Amino acid sequence: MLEFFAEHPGRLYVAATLLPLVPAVLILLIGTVRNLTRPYADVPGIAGWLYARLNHPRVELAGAWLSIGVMGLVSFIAVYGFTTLLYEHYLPRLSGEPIAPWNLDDTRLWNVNADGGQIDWIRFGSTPVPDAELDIIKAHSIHLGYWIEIDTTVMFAMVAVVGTMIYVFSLGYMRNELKSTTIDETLQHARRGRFGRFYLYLNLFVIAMFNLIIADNLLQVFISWELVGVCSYFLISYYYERREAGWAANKAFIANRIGDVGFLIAIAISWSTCNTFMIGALGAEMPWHGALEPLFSPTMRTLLGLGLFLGCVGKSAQFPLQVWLPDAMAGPTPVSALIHAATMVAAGVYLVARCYPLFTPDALLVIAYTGCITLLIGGTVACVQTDIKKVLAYSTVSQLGYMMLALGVGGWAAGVFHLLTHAFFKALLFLGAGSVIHGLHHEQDLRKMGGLRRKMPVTAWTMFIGVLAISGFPLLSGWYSKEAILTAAATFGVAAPSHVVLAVVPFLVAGLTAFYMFRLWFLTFAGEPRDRHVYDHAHESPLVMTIPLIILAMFSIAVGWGWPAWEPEASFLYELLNHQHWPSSHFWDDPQDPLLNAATLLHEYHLLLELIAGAIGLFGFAVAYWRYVLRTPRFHATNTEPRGFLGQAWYFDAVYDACLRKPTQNLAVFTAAFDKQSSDHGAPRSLDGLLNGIGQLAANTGRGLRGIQNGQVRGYVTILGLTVVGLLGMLAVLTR
Amino acid sequence: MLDSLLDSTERETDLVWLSVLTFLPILCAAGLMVIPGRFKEWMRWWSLLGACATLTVAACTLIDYHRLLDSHSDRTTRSLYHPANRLDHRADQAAYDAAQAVPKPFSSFNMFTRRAWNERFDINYSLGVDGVSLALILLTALVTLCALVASWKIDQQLRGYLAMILILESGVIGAFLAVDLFLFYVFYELMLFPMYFLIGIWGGGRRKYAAVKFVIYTLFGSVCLLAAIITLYSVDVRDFVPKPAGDLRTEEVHTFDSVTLSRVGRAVMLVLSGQEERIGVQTVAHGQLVPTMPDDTNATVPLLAPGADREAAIARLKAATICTPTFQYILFALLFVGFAVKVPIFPLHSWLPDAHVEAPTPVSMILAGVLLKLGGYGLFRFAFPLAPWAASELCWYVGLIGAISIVYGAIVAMGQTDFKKLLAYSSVSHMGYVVLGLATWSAGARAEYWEMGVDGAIFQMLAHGITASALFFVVGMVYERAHHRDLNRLGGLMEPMPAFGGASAILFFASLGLPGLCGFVGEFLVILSAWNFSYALAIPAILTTVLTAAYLLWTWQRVYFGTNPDTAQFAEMTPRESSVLLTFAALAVALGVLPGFLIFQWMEPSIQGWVDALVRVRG
Repeated sequence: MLEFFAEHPGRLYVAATLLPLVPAVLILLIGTVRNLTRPYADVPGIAGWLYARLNHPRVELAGAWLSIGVMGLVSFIAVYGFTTLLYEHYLPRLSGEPIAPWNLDDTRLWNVNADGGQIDWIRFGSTPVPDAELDIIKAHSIHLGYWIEIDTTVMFAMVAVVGTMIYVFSLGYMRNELKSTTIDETLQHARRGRFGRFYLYLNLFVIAMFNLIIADNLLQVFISWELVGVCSYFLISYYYERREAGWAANKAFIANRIGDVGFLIAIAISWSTCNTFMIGALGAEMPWHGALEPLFSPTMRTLLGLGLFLGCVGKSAQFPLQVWLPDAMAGPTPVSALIHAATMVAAGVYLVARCYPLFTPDALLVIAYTGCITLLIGGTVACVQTDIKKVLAYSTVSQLGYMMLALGVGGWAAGVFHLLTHAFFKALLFLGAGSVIHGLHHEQDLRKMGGLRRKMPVTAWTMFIGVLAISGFPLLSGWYSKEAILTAAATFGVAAPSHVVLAVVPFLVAGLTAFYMFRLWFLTFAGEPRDRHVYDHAHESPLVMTIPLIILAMFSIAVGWGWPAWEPEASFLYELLNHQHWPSSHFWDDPQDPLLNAATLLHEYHLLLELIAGAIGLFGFAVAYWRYVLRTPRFHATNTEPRGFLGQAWYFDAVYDACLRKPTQNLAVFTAAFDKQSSDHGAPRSLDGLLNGIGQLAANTGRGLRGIQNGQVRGYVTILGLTVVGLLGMLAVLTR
Repeated sequence: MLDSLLDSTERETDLVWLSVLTFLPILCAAGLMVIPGRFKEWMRWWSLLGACATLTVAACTLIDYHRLLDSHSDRTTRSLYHPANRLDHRADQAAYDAAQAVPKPFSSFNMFTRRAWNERFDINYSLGVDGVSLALILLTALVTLCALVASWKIDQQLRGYLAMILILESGVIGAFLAVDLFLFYVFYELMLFPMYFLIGIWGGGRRKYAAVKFVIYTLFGSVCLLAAIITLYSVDVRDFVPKPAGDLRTEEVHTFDSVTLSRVGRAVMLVLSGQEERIGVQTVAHGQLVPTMPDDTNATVPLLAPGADREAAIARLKAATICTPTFQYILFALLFVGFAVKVPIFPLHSWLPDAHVEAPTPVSMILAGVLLKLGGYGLFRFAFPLAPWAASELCWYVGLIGAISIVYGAIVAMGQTDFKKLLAYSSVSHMGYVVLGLATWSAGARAEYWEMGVDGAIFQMLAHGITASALFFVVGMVYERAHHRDLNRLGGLMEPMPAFGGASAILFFASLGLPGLCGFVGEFLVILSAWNFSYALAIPAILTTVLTAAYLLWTWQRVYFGTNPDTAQFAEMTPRESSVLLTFAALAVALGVLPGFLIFQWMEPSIQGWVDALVRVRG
C-alpha cells in the first residue's frame, strides 16, 4: 500500500481527492433512505423501524464528524505531500538555477504524464497507439490524469486546511439545522432541518475542487469547473424557500455558463489544433517554448487564451461577470467563506496561473485590464454596502481583481501568492462575519450593530487581525503579497509606460481597501451599540466556532513570513513560488527584457514604494477612523438597500436586466408564440398553424371534390363525355 | 427447441436468438389475451415479466456481442475492432454463403441471420446486431420496462393498453435489428398503430387531435421513406450481389438489402467524384470475404461482389439513372426528411409537443426515450450510407438544420409555461445535437473528428433516452399530485418530497449537460467535432448551453424552490416510483462517469467501421 504511493507520490493526491467521496456517499444513501421511509414513520414494519433509527440528530452529526475526520486526513496528506516535494525537489535547488516547470524531469515521479499512469476516459479509433509520451501529439483517447507542481501542492494544502476549519466552524453555525423543525429567520417559515445535506454538498464540492487543482488537462479542469459550479449552485440555494436564494443561484450558474462558453471554445481550439487537452503539451506548442513549427496561428493562440480567460472571468467574478458573486451571499456564511471567498472563486486565478504559458501578450494585457477594472469596481462598491457579507463579497471581487492584474502584468508568483494569503484572511473574515451573524441571531445589517467588541471579544480581535492583514499592515501575510503585486504592477508601469494606469489604480485602491475594511470593523465592533435590542441579545459564539477563527488568524499572520521578516521579498512562500520560473510571454521576443530592467530599476526604490503603499493605506484607515469612530455614524433609513451609482454597484444589474434578461425572455415568448398558438383552428399565424393549414387545404380540397361525386348519373355522363372529347382532341394534336 | 438454443454448433442459433429478442414482447401480448379480465394485477405482472425477459435477452445479446467482437484479433487493430466483425461484413458474408451453388451452412453465433422471406422480390428476413443497434435496443427494453412500472395506475382498458405497449416494443426492436429495407419498413409501420391508439385512447383532453397529427406527420415521413425504398429497389444491383461461380450476370437483379445498396451508394459516390478507377472487387480467401483492414491504405475500395466483371460493372453503373447527382440528391432528401420527421427537426417538430402533452406519462416516456431515437438511427443506418455522395455534399446544410433545431428548441422551450411542453421542446433541442454530430463529415486525417461527432451523436441518443424519459416520468409524478402542469402554479416541491427532488436534480442537471452526468458526454463530443467542421455551426451549439441552463434552471426554480401551501402536503415518492426514478438517476451518473468503459468500448467499433467505410470513398 505504502509502496504503491511511494512509487508515484502523485497517487497520494488522487487518493486525497477521492477520500471525501466516502462521507458523501454515506450521507447521500442515509438521506435517501430516510426520506423514502418517512411516509412509513408511523407504520409498523421495517421501513418505520429504519426511519426511527435514521431520523436522529446523532446520525447527522456522525456524518459531519466523519466528514471532518476525512478532511483532517486529507489536510495531513496535503501537508505531507507539500513538505515531501519541497524537501526532495525544491529546497536543494532553492539557491541555484530556477526550475523550469515544463521540465518534468525534476518531478517526474509526481506526474503520471511520463509514466503511462493516466486513465483513458474515452478511446477512439481502431489502430493501436504506442504508449503516449508527452511529445506524442497524436492522441487517440481522452484521458484523465494529474500534474503536481509546487503551486499545486500549496493550493491543495490551502484548500484542505481552510476546508477543515470551515467544516468545524459549520458544526456550530449550522446547529439549528439539526432540529427536526427549524424556523427560517427571513421568512418565519417552519421547515425540517437539513444538516446532512449541507455536509453532503460540502464534500462534493471539495472533491470537485481537489480534482480541479490536480488536473493535468483542460477537459478534466472543465469537468471539475462545472461540478464546483453546481455545488455552489446548490449551496447558494440552500435556503431555497427564500426567493432571492433561488434567483441568486440561477444567476451564479448562468453567469458561470456564459464564461464556460469561452472555456469550451478554448477546449475545442486546443483539441482541433493540437489533438490534446494536456496543459503541458499545449504549452510546448507555444513559440516562447521553442516550438519550431507552431501548430497554432497567432490569432488562434490569442483566442485560446481569451477563451480560457472568459471561463476564469465567470468563475472568478471578474468584470463584466462580477455581478453574481455579491448575490451568492444568499447561501450560508461558511459556504461564502469556503466557496465564494477562499477556494472556488480563486479557481479562475489558479487556472490562469496554471495555464500561464498559453496566454499571448495580447491576452495577458486583456487579463491585466480586466483585473484592474474589477478591483476598482469591487473596491469602490464595498465602501457603501451596509450588509456585512456584501462588503466582504465586494472586497473579494476587488482582491480577485488584484490577483488577475498581477498575473496579467507578469507577476505570476505575486498573483498566486496573494491567492494563498487572501484565502486565509478572507476565510477568517467571512467566518468572523458568520460568528457575528450567529451571535446576533441572523442580523446582517451593519447599521444595527456597533460596540460588539465587548460582547464578542474573540470574534472581534480575530477579525481585527483579518482586517489588518487585508489592508496590508506590515508583517501580516497580506502585506507581503500586496507588496509583491504592487511591485509587479509598478514594474510593468515602468516597462510599458503607456499602460501606467495598471500601476496607479492598484495603489489607490489599496487605500480604499483599508477604508472599507476598517469601516466594516468599526461599524460592527467599535463605538456604541446602535440597536439596543440586537445588542442585548448578542453573545459570543461557542468554542467550535471560535477555535477555527483563532487558527485561521494565526495562518493569516504567519503564512507569508520569511527571513528577514521585514523584507517583503524575503517571504518564504513567495520565494518558493518565484522559483518556479515562468517565462513571461510579454516581451518574449525581446532579448533585452524590459520587465527585467524595470525590476532592477525599481529594486533601488522599493523602500519608497513600500512607503507610498503604506501611506495610502494609512490614509484609508484614518478616513474610516474619522468617519466612523470620531464622528457618530448616522444612517437615515435603516431597512433600505443602498442607492446611487455605488450603492447599485455601477448599475450593472439594471443594465443586464434591461439588455440581456428581458430581451431573451421576450424573444422566448415571441418564438413560442411563433411556433404554436394555443388554439389549433385559428388562422395560420404560427408555424404550427401554417403546417395545419396545409393539412386543412387537403381536407378542403377533398370536401370540394366530394361535391362532384353526387351520385347523379347525368353529371357522371357529362364528365365522361368531356373526357372522351378531351382525349380525342389530345390524340388529334399529338398525332398531327 | 431448447437444445437448439443451447448447442452452439446448431446452425439456427442466431435466427432463434434474434427472433426471440424481437418477438418476445408480442408473444407476451398474446399471452395477455388469455388472462381473464378481472385479474388486472396479473396482467400487469405478466407484461412486466415480459419486459423483464426482453431486457434480459437484450443484456445476454450484449454479452454475446462482446464475445463476437473479441473473437477476431489482429495485431494491426485494437482488440474488439476487427473489421470482420462489422455488420456490413457479416451481412455480405451471409449473402455470399447463401449464393453459392451449394449453399453453405449458416454460420452460427455471428449475430446475423438471413433467411429468404419472399424470393420473388428478393425480400429477406435479415436481422443483425451491431454496437449502435444493440445500445438502442437495450435502451428500448429498459425504457419500456420502466414505462410499464410507471403505468401501474392505469386502469382503463388495461389489457389493450399493455398489449399496445408490448407490440410497440417489438416494432421498435425489430426496426433496430432489421437490415433488409422492406423488413425495416414493416417494423417501422408496425410501431405506428399502437402509438396511435395509445395517444388516442389513453391520452388527455385533445388526444384525438394529437393522435391524428402524430399519425399524419409520421406517415408523411413514411411516404418519403417508401419512395426512397422503391427508388432503391429499382436499381440494378447484379454486379453487387454474390452469384454462384460461372454466373454471367445477364439478368437484372433488384434487392432490398441495405448493405448491398450501401455498396452501390459508395460506388456511385466514387463515380460522381471522378474516382471510378478506385472501385474494386471483393476478394475471397478460404471461402471467406476478405475485410478491409484499417491500416490498408490501398486506393481501391472493394465494392463489387466477388467474380463481377469490373469494367462492365462500372459501365453499367455509369449508365444507370441512380448514378446522377439529381437522383442522389432526391434520394438523400427523401431519406433525410423521412427520418427527420421522427427526430424531429425544425420545422417538422410540430407534432411532438402535441403528442407529448396529450399522451399519458408512460407513453411520453417511450415516445421521448425510444421513438425519437429511430429517427437518429435511421439517419445513421440508412440515410448516410445509402446516399453517401449527396450526404457528403449536403452535410453542412444537414448540420445547419441540426444547429437551428438546437437553438430554436431551446428558445421555444424557454417561452413555455407547461412543464411537459417545455420538455418536449427541450427534446427538439437535444436531438439537434444528434443531427449536428452525424453531419460533421470530415475526411482524411480529420476523419477521427467525424468519428467523435458520430460517437457523440449516438451517445447523445442514449443519454437523451435516459434523461428525457425520466423527466417525463417526473412530470407525470408531479401531475398525479398537483393535477396540473402549469409551471407558474407549482413550486415548493423540494420540501415535501426531498428524495424526489434529489433524484430529479440529477436528471435535470444531466439534461443540461453537466459534466459527470450522461448529458455532457454526447454534447461535448459533438461540439468538439462541430468546431473542427465549421465554426458557424459550432458556436450556436456552444452558446445554446447557456440557454439550456437558463430554461432548465428556471423550470427547476419554479417547480422545486420557494414555498407553496398547495404543494406542501404532497406525498414523497412511493417505492414503485422510486424504483423507476432512482434507476434512471443511477444510470445518468454511471454513463456520465464511465462512458468509455460502459458504452464506448463495445459500441465504438461499429461507429468506427461505419465512418471508415464512408471516409474511404471520400478521397
